[in-house]
Amino acid sequence: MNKKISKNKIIVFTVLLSFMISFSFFYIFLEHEYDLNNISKHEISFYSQFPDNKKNIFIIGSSHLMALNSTYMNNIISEKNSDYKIYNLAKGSDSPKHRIDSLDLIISSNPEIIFYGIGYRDFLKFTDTSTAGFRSYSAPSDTFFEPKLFIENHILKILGYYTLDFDFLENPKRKTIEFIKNSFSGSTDLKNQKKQFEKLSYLPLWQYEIIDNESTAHFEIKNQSEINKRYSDLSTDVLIGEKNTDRNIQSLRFMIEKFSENEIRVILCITPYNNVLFHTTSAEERLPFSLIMDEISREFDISMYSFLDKYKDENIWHNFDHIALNKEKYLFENDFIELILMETN
Amino acid sequence: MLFTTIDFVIFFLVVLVSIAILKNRKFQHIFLLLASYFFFYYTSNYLILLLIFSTILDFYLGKWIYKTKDLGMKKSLLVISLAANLGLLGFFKYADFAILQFNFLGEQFNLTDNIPFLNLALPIGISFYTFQTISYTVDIYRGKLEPSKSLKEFALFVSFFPQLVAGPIIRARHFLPQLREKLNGNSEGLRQILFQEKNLKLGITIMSFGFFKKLFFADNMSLFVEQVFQDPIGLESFTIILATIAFGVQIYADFSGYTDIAIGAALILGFKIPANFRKPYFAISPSDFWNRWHISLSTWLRDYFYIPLGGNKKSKEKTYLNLITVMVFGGLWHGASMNFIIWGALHGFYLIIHKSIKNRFSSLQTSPFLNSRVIKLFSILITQYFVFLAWIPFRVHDIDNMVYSMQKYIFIDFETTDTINFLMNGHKITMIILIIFFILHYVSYRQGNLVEKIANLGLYRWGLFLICIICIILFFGIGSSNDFIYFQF
Repeated sequence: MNKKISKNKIIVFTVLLSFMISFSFFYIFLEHEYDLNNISKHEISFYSQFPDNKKNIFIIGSSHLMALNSTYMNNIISEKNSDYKIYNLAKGSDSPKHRIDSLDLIISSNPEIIFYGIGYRDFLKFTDTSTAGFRSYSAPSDTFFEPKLFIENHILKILGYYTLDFDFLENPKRKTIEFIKNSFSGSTDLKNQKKQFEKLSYLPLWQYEIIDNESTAHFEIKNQSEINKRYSDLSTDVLIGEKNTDRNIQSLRFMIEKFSENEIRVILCITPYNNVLFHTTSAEERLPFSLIMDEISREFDISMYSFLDKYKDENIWHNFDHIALNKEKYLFENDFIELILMETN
Repeated sequence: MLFTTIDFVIFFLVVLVSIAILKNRKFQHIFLLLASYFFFYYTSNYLILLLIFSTILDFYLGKWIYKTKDLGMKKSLLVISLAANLGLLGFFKYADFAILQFNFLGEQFNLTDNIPFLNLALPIGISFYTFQTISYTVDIYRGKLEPSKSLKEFALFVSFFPQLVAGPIIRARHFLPQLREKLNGNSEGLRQILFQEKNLKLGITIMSFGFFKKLFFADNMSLFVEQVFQDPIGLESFTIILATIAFGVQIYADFSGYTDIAIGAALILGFKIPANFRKPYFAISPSDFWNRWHISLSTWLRDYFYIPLGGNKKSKEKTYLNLITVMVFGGLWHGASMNFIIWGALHGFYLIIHKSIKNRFSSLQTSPFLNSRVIKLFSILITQYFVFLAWIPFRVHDIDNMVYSMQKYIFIDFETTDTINFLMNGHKITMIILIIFFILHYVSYRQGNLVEKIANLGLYRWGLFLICIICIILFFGIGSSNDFIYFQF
């Protein structure tokens, strides 16, 4: 009997050891090949430049905000005798769960106000592809006790689980394949050396690759018919995650809380969208996003402004959610300046 | 509770530790029952009442059927059991489908008022546990089974958590005896749940295969399959064929992966659940396929539906009618949709064709030529061609997309330009994984008891095997695992 028990213990120990070894390999690989932290050295040095007691305004968010030309905005602001300095810190493919990595750096830079631009894609829901098309089983909700929700809303939320950085687990296959490809065709550094990058002076945290033929990365204005043709149905693009468990929503909440604790004002801005979004999605489909934004605004008692459909019919769009960078009109900037002046006076 | 989530891992560990601590047999069984109910309640909430209702009803009806000597009474009680179980299943699963058909008929007769849909919550696992409870009362009625000794044991049979939500559909005569063992003095009592070395190692090995199938093969295939079948119109034949094969791999890896995890988890607890798959893509005929695919459902349909209908004991025509009826019912069991009916009907049709050929050329069955390797390989390829064709209606729910995909699968256009572009732009790895699947499927087919061989390895080698499996899942997983497809049924 004792022999049996000890053998069982050895089996359990072997299983645990196998897990530990495998996960260690995995972690070492990711840390070696890919920086687990999303912050680049450039970003760290950028944030270190801010002296104390300066009136700085940070605009943070994803590529949806890249069209905001902060050079133009700073010129106008200074003409209006305001001594604030505006920095557009938008980053491509950014979302709150990524931005949270820069939280300490942002706080240490001590900006006076942060304008946080949020759009649908910031809270986008993960879509299960395996069961697409099948009728899904569904559990009744809003009953007297749901253990899953209890664990998620109370235990995991309190433990800060939803603000932990698990990005490295998002698509390990892609990272492994990149590693294998690079092993056969030269390192990533060498590849990157061959590429040419350019920066826009007003976007310190973003660079774009120059391609032989004309780069189309958010620069060109496309006409409405072209945009309409390209996006026939955007209903999955407004589908957002569950408000209590979505990592982006929780990360945003966490960041706002930390900014407030450090006496940094946060103002939420809903980013603008092209007309095609409003044609291909229903008000009902878009409602959950508005509700969650209202809820966050109320919860932390912070202002919120919506640019959602403000420019939907203007000829300034590169695609359904990006205003083109090469534009003739500075509509978004002008409205943003007004907003800044209003909030700083 | 998905097997591939951290929720299940924690739940399973808590169950194992608690069972190990609770030495008392009675407490162990009560704990296992409560844990199973928690497992169900975790995702289905108050719909657990349906499970409890089915359990209590069939337990007492079973006893009553067994006790009563009056045949008419026995039959009436069985009818009550069938009506209650199938009524619940029908109401929750098929009510909206029936309303849709009524509304469609109404439109044909210019009736303007449509019946509103009920939009009922679909209780998870209802198709599986309903079939288990039905088999229990039917077996008692047929005199093949003695009723369960206690409600607690019967409840554990119905709700045993490893196989509760997606099978295998186990029979009471297989499961209930496993709850008991001979005690001193030849009396019988509840079995003490002990973790035995062999079961533990084999169970973990089977589970690891299950996770590997689901997280490596099924999840990786799903992206490709979805990309093709969400809008297949305009795609070339080869793209459609590849996506069809990929879906065949996905559904097998997904469902057999789930089954493996269920069988492994049960084995660790000392319960043996019969196999549900036997290398189905090596089937040499449609009937052979159904001896290898979802065995617990196909044998259930045979024993409780096909044979009562008359099986193959009556005329040829009646046999064919029985086959198609059973397969359409089997299709409908998967879900309230025309797609599953088409899928079932296609398989029924295959079985009829196969049976009629077999009947007509019965003398050729012993021919050495027809039993040669080449012919066997040819039989496998032909069978699988039709099996995979039937996967299209199973997967593609939009009728236009389904018809287009089936046309492209049958009438090959021999164009490859778009297919090559499609594969080169992001799906090379999917193709490599597809090839790996068929190689491993072949190896395990040739080896027979590969899982047992691995489980019998020495601890160092076995540990190395586990490291390999975990590493493959970690390094080649897609990160966020998808639902199991059969959870929907």
